[in-house]
Amino acid sequence: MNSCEKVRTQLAMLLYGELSFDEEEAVDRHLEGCAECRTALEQQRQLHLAFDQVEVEPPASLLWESRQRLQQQVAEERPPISSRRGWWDQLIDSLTLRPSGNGGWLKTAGALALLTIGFVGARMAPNLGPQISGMSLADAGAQRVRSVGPAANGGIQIVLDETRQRVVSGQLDDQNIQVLLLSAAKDPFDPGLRYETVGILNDRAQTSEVRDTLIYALEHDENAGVRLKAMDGLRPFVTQPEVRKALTGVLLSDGNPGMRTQAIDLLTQGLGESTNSLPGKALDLDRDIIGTLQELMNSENNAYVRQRGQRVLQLVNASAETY
Amino acid sequence: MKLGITTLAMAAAGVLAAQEAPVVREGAYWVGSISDSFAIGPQSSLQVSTRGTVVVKRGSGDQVAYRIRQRVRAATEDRARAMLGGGAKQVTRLRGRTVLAIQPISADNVKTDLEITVPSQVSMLIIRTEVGEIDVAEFDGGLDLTTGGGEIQLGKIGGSVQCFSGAGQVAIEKTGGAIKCTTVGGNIAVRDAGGPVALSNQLGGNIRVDKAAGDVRAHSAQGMIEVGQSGGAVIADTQGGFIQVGSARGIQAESAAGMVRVKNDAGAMNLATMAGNILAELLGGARIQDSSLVASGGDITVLIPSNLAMTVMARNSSGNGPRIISEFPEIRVSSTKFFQPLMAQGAINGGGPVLNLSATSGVIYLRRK
Repeated sequence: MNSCEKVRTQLAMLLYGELSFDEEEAVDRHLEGCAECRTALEQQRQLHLAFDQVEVEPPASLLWESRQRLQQQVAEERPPISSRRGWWDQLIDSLTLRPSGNGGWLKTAGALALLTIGFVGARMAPNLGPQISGMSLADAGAQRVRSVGPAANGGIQIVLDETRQRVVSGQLDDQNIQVLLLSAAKDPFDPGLRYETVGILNDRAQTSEVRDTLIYALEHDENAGVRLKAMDGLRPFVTQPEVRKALTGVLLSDGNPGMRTQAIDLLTQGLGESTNSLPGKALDLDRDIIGTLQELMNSENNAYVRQRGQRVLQLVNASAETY
Repeated sequence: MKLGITTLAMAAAGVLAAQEAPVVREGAYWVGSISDSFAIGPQSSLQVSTRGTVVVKRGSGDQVAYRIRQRVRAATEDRARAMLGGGAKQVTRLRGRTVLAIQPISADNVKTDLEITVPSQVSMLIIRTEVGEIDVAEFDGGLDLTTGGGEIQLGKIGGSVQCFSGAGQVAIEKTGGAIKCTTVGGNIAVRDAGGPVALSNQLGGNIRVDKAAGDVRAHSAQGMIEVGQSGGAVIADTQGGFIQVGSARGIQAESAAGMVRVKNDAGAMNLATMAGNILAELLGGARIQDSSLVASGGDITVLIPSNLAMTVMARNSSGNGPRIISEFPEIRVSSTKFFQPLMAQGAINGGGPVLNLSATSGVIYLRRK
C-alpha cells in the first residue's frame, strides 16, 4: 500500500477525530504535499456535511422488518436436519442458535421455552438449590439463562450469565484501589459517590494523580457540593501552579458565590491582612492572580466577593482596574 | 418623625475614626479605632447595622461596649486620616429596640471591623451588615443575622438563630432553640440544635446537621445532606447529592440524583430518588406509619426488625428481569406475565402500616434485621 492509499484509508478517521496524535501529524504532513489527497479529503468533508444536513426518521417497522429478513436468511442457510437425531438433540438445537435445519414450529417453541426458562430461572434463582440459595443478598445480581443441558447425574445443568456486585477491599496506597477511586470520582451519575470518593482522595492529594482528579472535580463537577469538597482537599497544595490555575478559573467562572469566596481565600492564603509587612511594601502575589482579581472586579456582581478581591488587590498595592 | 422612631432616648451620635481619633500603623495598614459603650435594659432587643465584619462577645452588667476598627492602606498618615474620616455612628431606640447604626466609609478599600460585647440581659440580637463575616462565639439570647456576603460562625447560642448570607458558609456549634438559616452558596453545618432546624442552600453546597431536638428541613440546590440525629421528622431535598439520615421520627427525602440512606424511628417515610439506591433501615421498636419508597434508577433495600408488624406491597417494573428478593416467607412474590411488573406483598407479624416500594430500574431487597 503506497502512502496515498494509506492516507485515504485514514481520512474518515481524521474527520471523526479518531486518529492518534502521531497518525494525525503524519496525515497532515502528507496532505501538505499531495493535492490529490487534499481533494479526496475535501470530498469526504463535503459528504459528511451532506449527511449532517439530511435528517432521516426511520419507520417504526424498520427494526421488525430487519429481524424478519435476518431470520429468513438464517433459515435459508441452515443445512437439513437429520431425521435420525434424538429428541434431546432436536430440543437443544431448537433452544440454541446452532444451525440445525428447518423445523420452524420447533424453533418458535424452543425460543419461547428459552424465554420462559430465562424468566422463571431469573425469578426462582435464589431458591433453586444449595449453591444459589446459599448466596448472600450482596451476591445476587442480574441473571440470564445462557443454556440448558443434561447433567452427568441425569439432572439438568443450566448455565447462567450473571452480573454481580463484588466487594474489593484494600489500603489507600493499593494501586487497584486507587484506580477504582479515581474512576469513581468521575462517575457521571452519582454525585454522592463522587463526594465520598473525593473525601477519601483528599487525604491523598500529595500524589499528582490524585491532585489532578481533585482539580478535575473542582473545574468540571456539576455539583457544588462535590466542588467544595474537592477544594478542601486542594487547600494544602495551593502553591502548586496547576492548583492556582484551577482556582483562578473558579474565581472567574463558577456560578456559586460560596465557591468564589473560598477560591479567593485559598489564592490569597498566606496574605493575611494582619501580615507584618513593611509600610508601603507590596506583598507577593503572582501577576496572574493579580490579573485575575482585576478581571474579577469588572465582572463580579456579589458585593462580598468584590470586597474580598478589592482588599487583596489593595494589599498587594495593585489597582483594582484593568487598563 | 413618621419613620417609626418612637423615642430617641440615646442620641449618641458621632463620627468614626475621624481626624480627632488616633490612627496608628499596624503592619501594612493604617488603623483608626474608636470605642464606646451604652447602657441597655433587661430583656431588650439590640440591633446593629453596619458594613463590615462583626464579632460578638459575651459581656455582663448592663453595658453594651463596642469598638469600631477601620483599616486602610495609605502612603502617609494624613492620607490615611483623610480616607478614614467621614463615617458616622448613632445609637437610637426604635420600636422598643435599641439600634446601633454604624455607617462606615463605604469604599471597598476601607475594611471595617466591629467588635461588640453584649451583656446577657439582651435577649435578642439583630445584626445587619451590608457585607462581611459575622462571628458570635457565645450569646445567651436569640440571634437574627443578615449579611450581604460573608461567613457566619456561631458558637454557643442560648436561644434561636435566624440567619442569611449572600455568599459563604454557615457554621453553628450549638443553639438552645430553633435554627433557620439560608446561604446563597456555601456549606452549612450545625453541630447541635436545641429545636427545629430549617436550612437552605440556594445555589449549592453541602448541609450537615449532627443533632437536632426537633424537625429538620434541609434544601440544597446541589449538594449532600447529612442529618445525624433528629428528634423530629426530617424533610430533605437536593437536586444532586445523597441524603443520609442517622435517625428520625419520620422522613421525607427526595434526591434528583444520589443515594438516599436513612434510619427511621417512627412516623412515615417517603423517599424518592431519580438516580441512586435507597437504603432504609427501620429501627427496633419503630412505630412507623404508612410509607412509600420510590427509586427510579437504583435498588431499594429495606432492613426490617424481625418483630415489626407491617404490610409490604412491592412493585418492580424494571424492564430486564425485575427482581424482588425477600427474606420474609410471609411476603409472596407473585409470578407475573411476561413484560409485566413483578409484584410482591404480604403481612409481616400479622400486618400493620403499609410499606409501598416501587423500583423501575433495580432490585428490591427486603432484609431481616
